[in-house]
Amino acid sequence: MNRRTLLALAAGLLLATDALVPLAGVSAVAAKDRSDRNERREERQDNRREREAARKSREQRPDRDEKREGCALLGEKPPRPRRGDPAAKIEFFGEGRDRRRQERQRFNAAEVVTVVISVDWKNLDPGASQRLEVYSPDGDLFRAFVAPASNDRPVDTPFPLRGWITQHSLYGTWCAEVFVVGDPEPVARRAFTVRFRQ
Amino acid sequence: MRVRSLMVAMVVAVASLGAWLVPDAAEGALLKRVHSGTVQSTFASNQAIVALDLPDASKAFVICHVRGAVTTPANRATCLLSNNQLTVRRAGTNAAVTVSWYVAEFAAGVTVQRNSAVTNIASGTGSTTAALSPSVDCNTSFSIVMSQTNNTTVGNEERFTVRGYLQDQATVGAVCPAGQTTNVLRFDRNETGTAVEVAWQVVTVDRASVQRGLSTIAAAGTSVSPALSTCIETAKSFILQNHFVATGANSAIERQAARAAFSGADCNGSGWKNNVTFTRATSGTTSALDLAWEVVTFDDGTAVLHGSATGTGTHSVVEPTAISARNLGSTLPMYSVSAAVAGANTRNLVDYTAEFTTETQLRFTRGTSSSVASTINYQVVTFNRCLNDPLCTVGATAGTGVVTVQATPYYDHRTLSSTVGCPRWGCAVTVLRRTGAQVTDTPSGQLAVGATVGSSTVVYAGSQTTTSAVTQNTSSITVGSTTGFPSSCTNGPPLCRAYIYDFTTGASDEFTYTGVTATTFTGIPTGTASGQPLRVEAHAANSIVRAFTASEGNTTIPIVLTNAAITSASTSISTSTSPITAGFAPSGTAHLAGGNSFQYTSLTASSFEGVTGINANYVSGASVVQSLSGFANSGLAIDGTTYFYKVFPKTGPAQYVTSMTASQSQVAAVPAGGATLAWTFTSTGGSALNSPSAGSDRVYFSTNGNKLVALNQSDGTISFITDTYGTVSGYPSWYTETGGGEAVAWGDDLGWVYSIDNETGRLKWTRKVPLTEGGVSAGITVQARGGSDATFQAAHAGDLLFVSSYGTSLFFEENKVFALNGDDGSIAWTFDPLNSGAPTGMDSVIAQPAADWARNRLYITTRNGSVGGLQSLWKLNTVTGALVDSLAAGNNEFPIMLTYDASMIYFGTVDEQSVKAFDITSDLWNETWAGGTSVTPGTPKSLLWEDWTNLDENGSPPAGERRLFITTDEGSGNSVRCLQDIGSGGTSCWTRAHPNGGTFAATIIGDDALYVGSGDGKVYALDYATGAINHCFPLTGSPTVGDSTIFEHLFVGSSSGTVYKLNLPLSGGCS
Repeated sequence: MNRRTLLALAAGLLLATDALVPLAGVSAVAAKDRSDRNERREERQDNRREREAARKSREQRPDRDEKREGCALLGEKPPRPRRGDPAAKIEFFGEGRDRRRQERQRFNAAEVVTVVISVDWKNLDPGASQRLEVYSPDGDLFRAFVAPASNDRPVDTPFPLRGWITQHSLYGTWCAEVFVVGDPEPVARRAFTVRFRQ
Repeated sequence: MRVRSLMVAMVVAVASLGAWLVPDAAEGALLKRVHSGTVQSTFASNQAIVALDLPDASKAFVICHVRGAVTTPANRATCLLSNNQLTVRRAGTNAAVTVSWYVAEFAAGVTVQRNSAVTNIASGTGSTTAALSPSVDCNTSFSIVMSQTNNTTVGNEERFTVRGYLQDQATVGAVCPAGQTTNVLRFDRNETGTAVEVAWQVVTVDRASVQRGLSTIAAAGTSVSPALSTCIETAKSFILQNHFVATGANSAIERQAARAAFSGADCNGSGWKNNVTFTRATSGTTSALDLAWEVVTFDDGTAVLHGSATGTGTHSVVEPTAISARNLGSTLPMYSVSAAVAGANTRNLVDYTAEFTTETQLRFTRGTSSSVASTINYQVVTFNRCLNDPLCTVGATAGTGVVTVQATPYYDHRTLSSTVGCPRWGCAVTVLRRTGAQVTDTPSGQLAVGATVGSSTVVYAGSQTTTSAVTQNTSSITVGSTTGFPSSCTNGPPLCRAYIYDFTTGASDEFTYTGVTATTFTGIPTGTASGQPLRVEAHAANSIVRAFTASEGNTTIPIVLTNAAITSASTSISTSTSPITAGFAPSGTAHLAGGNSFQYTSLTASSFEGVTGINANYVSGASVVQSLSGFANSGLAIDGTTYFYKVFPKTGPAQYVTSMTASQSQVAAVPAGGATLAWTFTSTGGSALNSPSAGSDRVYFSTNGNKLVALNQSDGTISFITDTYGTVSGYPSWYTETGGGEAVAWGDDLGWVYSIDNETGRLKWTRKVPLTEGGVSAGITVQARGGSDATFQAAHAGDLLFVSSYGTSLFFEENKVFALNGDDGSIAWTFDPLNSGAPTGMDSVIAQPAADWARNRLYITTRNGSVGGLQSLWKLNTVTGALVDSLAAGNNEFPIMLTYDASMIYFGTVDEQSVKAFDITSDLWNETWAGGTSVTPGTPKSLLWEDWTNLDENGSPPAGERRLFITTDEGSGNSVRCLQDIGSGGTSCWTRAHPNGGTFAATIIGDDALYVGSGDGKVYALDYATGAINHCFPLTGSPTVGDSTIFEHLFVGSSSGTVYKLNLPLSGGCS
């Protein structure tokens, strides 16, 4: 059973528990729905704000050749894996103040201290290791991680947001790229966004 | 220039006596390399000696696998390791054997005890012991035991089966239990009719975890499955076993050979087990098999692959399914085997050598071909070496019109032969350069400097092919190009040295030359006159010449020149150097050119005496070893052009390692031009946003690339690099040690703490502080004993380093503070808020604490919990670690500032958007800026700096005129603010908004200006008095500019991993 299955079961269990206490449960579900809607609305607003900020930033920093951020700076996307070749799916999780681990692509560093970058592999050879490279919004390699990997379960890598990222305002679109150690070509990449709002 | 040293100003310490008296040993294991090779079956005497570049065998262990064609018990060998030498020994010479050997050499964190000569267990003796000194920690130590006999009588195989294990000191015959130490290694056997020799090693790996036991496969059984006391992750664990078989088993090899594997249900998810199963092919009514086993688990990044393979048909070779690629410079194989062989005369069918034929293919070979199938359970152990293994670091230093590329040594077993190690300075490399874009080309074929590969150019070939055979005593050698080879060297002017290597035969040599033309080395000495420099031996055409100089690398290795020819009969070697004792042990091993070596029993002022082991092929020479340091690529444009360099290690004349990502093997550099930018240095692996730390003539910076880099301040070239397990995001602390010398200390995000000797770059110690989560993010604060009061000095014999933790979870509130002894890293005291009477737990410490040496106080700011309200300002007694007081003081993520006169502390809070100020002249919390001074709409985002330009000799400003500088995030951009402490609060002197709405890093105060880096790729110089931008300087590459430090010059870090040295004052402005 992989972690996604476990999460699905956990979600199912949560709903079942809600059903046992209908009044409180309905209230909780409604509150959760409101919270989700608010978050989505907030994300849309953030998107607009950040696009505008990026536009202004580009205009105000003509000496920097930064028309793109995140994975767009890394060149062409990795080709789709052929059948039987290693394949990877990247997901991002953040732990919010409600103590829930949520799959997201956008994170507020004022609330989330660590993003978990989860890589789910298929078709890996025995004994393989993954190399995860994380690129900052300006396209620089910020950090790399190496860890054993298998087809059995995703590899979770904690990526702290507090510290260098907040102290140097490295906000914007980041890019996570994964390789099988020993192969110079990436298998997958995916972007995520870090912002800071009190 | 007045310089503020962060760590000196912010240091404090303490120690609890109880813990101090019983330091726990907890270093980390950092692999240097795995040496490997095969001793062929042709060694006719009872031993073969393999010369190694292994200066300290106490940090290395050897694994040997033996095969032979004969069927008697004599089909065995043992391996003994010593400094610079491996001795493969067998008891007799009646049969040839072949041995594949692997030596794992560590830079730190591993200690090995062994017997220097084989231990004899006499005929008639069943058990014996070896004394260990000092005692070893049974939690972190394991044993490797090999045995052999000269007995050739078929039917006596069981007599040389010996079981060795670390014994419980209190109970004879019991294994040493977890949590104890022991000084006894015990050997047992059942059948005592034959004398045997034993070679043993006891390996202690700090932070490894070892479980052990004794188990028996019953006479009528074929397997046993002992339980482990702790569930382990198999991908980080391997199994060791040795055994003896019961009397009466008589040659029943099938009953003696047992394979091992992890077994049972998953205990913590897939790949976690808590059983081991030993299986043999056949049982026998009188053939119980007694096993001693150990399960060793690493937590330092070491990876272990487990698999099984069985040969088919009539065969002598078993090749398992290909595995994912391994770096063979950090990997060794182990195996166990079972086989349904037919009784006696079958030892040759279950003894295999193990070798890698490629990075993905393991091969097991036995001495005899047979249709009898063996089942081999193998374990492939890849030790942790560095994040960017196999090329740990590639660095480029850019000066005016020149880029110097440096790389750490790369090792590969494919360039090994039986007597010559992979060049001790690492294998050759080829470097491609491309202008303006990343190198995407891959080299192929033999390439000379200047060759074109796609869009790239070969700028360093690392090797050149000779155009004709090299004859002994030749005075010149012609190659394709001598570009990159030094023409003037510091090794005894005017000599230069080069290395010659024949990839076909493995023969190697080195020679000196005095001149070089475009294609020819000239002035190679001939003859063997007294004091003769190195001459060259005969080599076939197409041999490889590679450059190095004795001044390169990290290690000083003594060099002496021999006075006379050396023959294989030499028992004394005189030299032209007197005295020669510096660097040479009173007895031991010395190396000769070309990989040869000899042993000596004593030294005189100018000669080695009692010499043995000379190879007849070498007639003159001296020992010189060094690693690849780098090459200078000059004549480059200084118009802002970016040059990309990609390094390809070579495993042969035309074989290149291409399996690394671009970020592992490629760096970019922009040659400097003008008066301001002195040099840049870029390394692989990640960002370097922290301010570098300057000390003596070096500058240190930490990176996200799992390393600490020391550069020479003058030219930016690498002085030394220390690889780490995790990311180093804290400021490296340079300090003068009380006992003399200088050290640099830092921590990483996995909780490891490191200390190096500033002079040599030697890693003094590493330690993993005991944490349940997270690691170390903040810089380390130091309290020097020499600068402390009598109370501190009475409690502590040396300096203390204060290490605080960072939990990765939002809700983790169990962070701690440790005081480590500077001498050895042992823990002096631990502050655990949950067990120290603190009102709340402690959230993460992100920023460096501040120490007040005069009052023995340590001030720590922390985050204040997932929902706020936790204590976040802490005051500890540095002598004892006791909590003095704590306070809920907002969410703090930036370093606390202690004033020069040690009267005040200041820090900025994130959630309250304010700057707080406390008078610390007493232990009462005296918050002088009640509630803090608001900086809204800004949020503090950096360290505060005190303006020292108006301080008196005591470090105090005029009353009411203390000024502070801080960077704030205003939402729409960053500002630098000046606050003046008027007693009851801070008033704004000025605020300087970023000119383009961008971001600022932390400020640093120079003689003439306040300097600050920016996210727009520039460094700004602000006027102290007004905040006006006087100058700005755009950095090459326009990275996000990080924090900076001043040590006569300005050193700046960046998001691109580039560190810049700027000459001051800055001049000019930015458009």
